[in-house]
Amino acid sequence: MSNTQPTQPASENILEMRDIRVEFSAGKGRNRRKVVALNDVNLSVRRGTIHGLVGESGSGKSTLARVLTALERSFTGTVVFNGEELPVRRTKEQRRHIQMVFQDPYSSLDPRMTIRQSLAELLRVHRIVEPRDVGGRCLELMEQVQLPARALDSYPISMSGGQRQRVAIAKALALEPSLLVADEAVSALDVSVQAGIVNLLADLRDQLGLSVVFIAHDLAVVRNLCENVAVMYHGNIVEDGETESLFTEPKDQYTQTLLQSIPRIRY
Amino acid sequence: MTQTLLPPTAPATGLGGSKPPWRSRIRPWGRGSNIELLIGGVVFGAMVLAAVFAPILTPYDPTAQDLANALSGPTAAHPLGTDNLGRDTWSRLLFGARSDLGIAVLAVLFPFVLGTIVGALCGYFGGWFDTLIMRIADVVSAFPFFVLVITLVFVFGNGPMSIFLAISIVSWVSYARIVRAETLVVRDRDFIQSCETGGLGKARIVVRHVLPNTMTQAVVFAMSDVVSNIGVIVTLSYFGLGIVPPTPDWGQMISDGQQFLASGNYTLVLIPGAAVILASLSLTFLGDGIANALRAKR
Repeated sequence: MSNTQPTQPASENILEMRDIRVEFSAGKGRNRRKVVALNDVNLSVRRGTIHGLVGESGSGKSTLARVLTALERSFTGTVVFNGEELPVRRTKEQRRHIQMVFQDPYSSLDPRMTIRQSLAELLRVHRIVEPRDVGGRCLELMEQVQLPARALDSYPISMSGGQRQRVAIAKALALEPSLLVADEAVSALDVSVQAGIVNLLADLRDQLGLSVVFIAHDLAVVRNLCENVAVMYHGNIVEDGETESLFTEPKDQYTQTLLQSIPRIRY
Repeated sequence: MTQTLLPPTAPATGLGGSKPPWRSRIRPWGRGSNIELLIGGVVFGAMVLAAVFAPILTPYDPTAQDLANALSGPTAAHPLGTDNLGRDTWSRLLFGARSDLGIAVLAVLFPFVLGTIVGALCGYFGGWFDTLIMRIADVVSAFPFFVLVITLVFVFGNGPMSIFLAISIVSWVSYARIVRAETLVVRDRDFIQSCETGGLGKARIVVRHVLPNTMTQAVVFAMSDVVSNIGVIVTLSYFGLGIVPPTPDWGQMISDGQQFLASGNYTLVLIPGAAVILASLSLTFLGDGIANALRAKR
């Protein structure tokens, strides 16, 4: 497989993943075998764009996200972020720049903390703003994710899935990251709520210049939102390119199969 | 057939008040009532108050002997009677509560703190530390509880300090196991992972995020542990291994009164026995009530 990407100036890419390889061992004793979760994957994300990542379950999308956010530490290859190669054990500051929004909004917030406590903790630990400005910054963040200010003093229990996902995004934004990794961030939400979160991500890209790695299996959403799309299959990126050309002229066999599997309504 | 559509508003429905959702109100009736907490709290609270204010509640010294009035039944001067040495039963009951309840509660605090911290560290970090601690825990729990406690008290000598030490050495294991198991579950939940991607320090994650979400079980267990500690202290004293004689204690009262059962003097055994039961029962209620109140709805 030769998908050599066009060499772009380094400054244009916020993220470059080179030859990322992750292997797990599964089974015990005699049945012990090696599973290749990521097979020397290369991925480049342009600054200020949303890069989609699609593929079936088990294709390695989430593992890629975990490598990006250093939740997965046993991998080979290099992650170059903003022209700087990130070590396996990252500093607080290095972690700050890459934030993640998780799939399940019902388990991604600490049930014993109000939204204000969650946000304020991050703001204080990273000294994002002066201590006396923490309250004001919390309000701004709520505004950014279009939640009312009174949500700040609620506990996650009293919020809906969509509201929680907005809070999760607010938590990520609190650290003023340059790259957001959204791992199936809209998959657990119903369609109308999904649309709200997707629009929010698009707004953040347009207004803050945020770069996003958007992992999803809903191809229609990806087509609307992303500038570029990478297709994953069995731990490989089989195709990577601009969204429209990939959707209209898929080159790889698997991509064609995937696109044909979209249910269509015939009139 | 007209349907009124709600005006399109910001996604703001369902944002409840700022009351922590796991804190149920202490009302004896109606929705959200917590009658166990109320009963347990009132009864146990009263016993603790009685122990604290023992010198005010009785005119007698619990160790003062009055052989002329030995084994008197309930009289105006001694409402619960006196024992074979003429000591006032009511006074001994109150001062006995001081030693029994005091040691029982203290002997929960230390293992609770130690076990909870160790359990959280084992669960969160795993590795050789976890293996080492859990093997030690296995060794401790391989012995029957009473055999180990009695042996330890025998080695350390009588008295409150050695009871406290013996119970601590044995019972931290339960707390460590409980919190470790809970931590293993919580560790892989997204909100802990999001703390890591958020760049929070490990110490902060364990103390601020893991422990508050794993301690509930340990707190509830602590209540029932006080109950079992009362049993242990009373049992040890009954065997003459516990609190040293002149100091009043329920176990000794039962053991001393036993010889007069045959002569029909039941109260000397029944009164301290009832005190043990009342203390245990109220703590069990309290534990249930706290469990109900702390259980986080997700």
